[in-house]
Amino acid sequence: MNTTPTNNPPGGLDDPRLRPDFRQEFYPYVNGREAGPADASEKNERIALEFAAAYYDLNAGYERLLQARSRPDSPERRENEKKCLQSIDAILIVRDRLEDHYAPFGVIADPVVKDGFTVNVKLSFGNVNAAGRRRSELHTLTACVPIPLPEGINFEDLPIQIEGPGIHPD
Amino acid sequence: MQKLILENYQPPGDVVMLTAAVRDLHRCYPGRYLTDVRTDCPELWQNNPYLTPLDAADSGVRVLNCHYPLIQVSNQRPVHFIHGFIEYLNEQLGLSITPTRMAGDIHLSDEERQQPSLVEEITGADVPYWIIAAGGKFDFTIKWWHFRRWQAVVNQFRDKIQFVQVGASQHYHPALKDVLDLRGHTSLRDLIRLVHHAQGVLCPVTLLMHLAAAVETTPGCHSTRPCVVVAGGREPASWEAYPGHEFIHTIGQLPCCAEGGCWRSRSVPLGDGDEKDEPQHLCVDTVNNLPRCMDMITPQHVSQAIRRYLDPGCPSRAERRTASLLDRGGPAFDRREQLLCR
Repeated sequence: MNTTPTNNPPGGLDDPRLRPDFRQEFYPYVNGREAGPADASEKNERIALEFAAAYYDLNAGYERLLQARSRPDSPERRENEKKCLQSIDAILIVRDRLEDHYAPFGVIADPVVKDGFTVNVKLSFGNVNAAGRRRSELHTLTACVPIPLPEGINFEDLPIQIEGPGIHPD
Repeated sequence: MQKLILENYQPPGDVVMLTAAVRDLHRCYPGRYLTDVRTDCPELWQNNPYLTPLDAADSGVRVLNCHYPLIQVSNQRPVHFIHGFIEYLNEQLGLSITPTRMAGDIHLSDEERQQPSLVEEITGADVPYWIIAAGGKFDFTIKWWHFRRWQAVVNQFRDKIQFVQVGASQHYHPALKDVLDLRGHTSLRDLIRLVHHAQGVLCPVTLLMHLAAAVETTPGCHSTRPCVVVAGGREPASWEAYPGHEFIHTIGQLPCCAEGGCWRSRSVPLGDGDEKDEPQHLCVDTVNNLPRCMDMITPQHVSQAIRRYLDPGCPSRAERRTASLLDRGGPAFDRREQLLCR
């Protein structure tokens, strides 16, 4: 029996932005924004980087496939095209593993595709809602209610201790 | 007549069970009570003939916060969820209500019955369909089946069944391919209408399962709507399963649900600060973070369950229209007209 569920990813993160041949145009946005830094430590940011890396590799692989197909037909071209397709297939397996791994944690990664390239990955997480608030957090409403002190009484003289933002009894 | 306001602010699936209790209270004790309700889902009570507007401030009104403590013995006693609120009312009011129907009590208006289905409104065609819910809320992730398995079932019925995917946008409902995607696009009332016209329902233990039993079918169909429930080992079948439903469970097949449902909440901790992340609420036997009981249920099991329903079928609206015209026209009904109806 497994009583210690893990959310460790299937493989370590290989951030494509750290590779010498990185091409920015293939790196997708995450939820419409630039992905976090490669050394981000927050769990959801790490998950986002993993999906961004997978879709970067898919984009780069698709670009290679398009280039292969743009060449005149020949046995070499066909062989190259086959290799490109095999490479894409391998990346899709990595992407599927990521999806499978994070599905029980409530993570959904929907790619937004334009002309065959993933330009954005819409990610949602199990632990926070769309606004980034932890799902179990209660909504907090704050109101300011001024209570005037009785005449001649100083705040410091009150036999109570009040804590809160903006209150500095000392 | 005694005036009662019945309160319950639990999720809509639970409230569907309260609709059954209200119905059965009136059927067993006709003319003895005036009832009103306070819940978070007024749409479940639309057209309900058993409700009378009551004011909680009225001194003659008793407000009863309704629970179903019977659930605590659901692994030991042969009881269904439908008994939950009924037994509570019996205790509180000193009554002997018995269930009169093994389903909740959802009422459609005549207008709703005559409206085309949402699917017909969207596609312009009276397409027979099944509804699929491939996820659920974040509080009980242990009920989730893997989205790839739901997809595998959809794939197996490509060209045979049109699936319509539903689910609230704030819950976990990953997109499926080759379905009509209505996730986040149905109000509770829309969902009820969608169920009304549906040939079948495919889901985990969720509101949709309760609606599949509670919402009337369209004329010409069997009164029991096909419904396949991927249930695993969380809840005893005797508590959740409805007659006529295919309730696929693993009770008795694993140590963790050997003698009943485990009633745990989550497969893995989500890290959302909810107490359901605590060890006593977590699944004790996971396979790749999926509860073993859910892992044991394969797409083939589910597909077989669906196939068992397919033969009797349910006529499309066009076919029902034809049947209705045939009834009116009798044997002399013109074949050409019959074809036109289709």
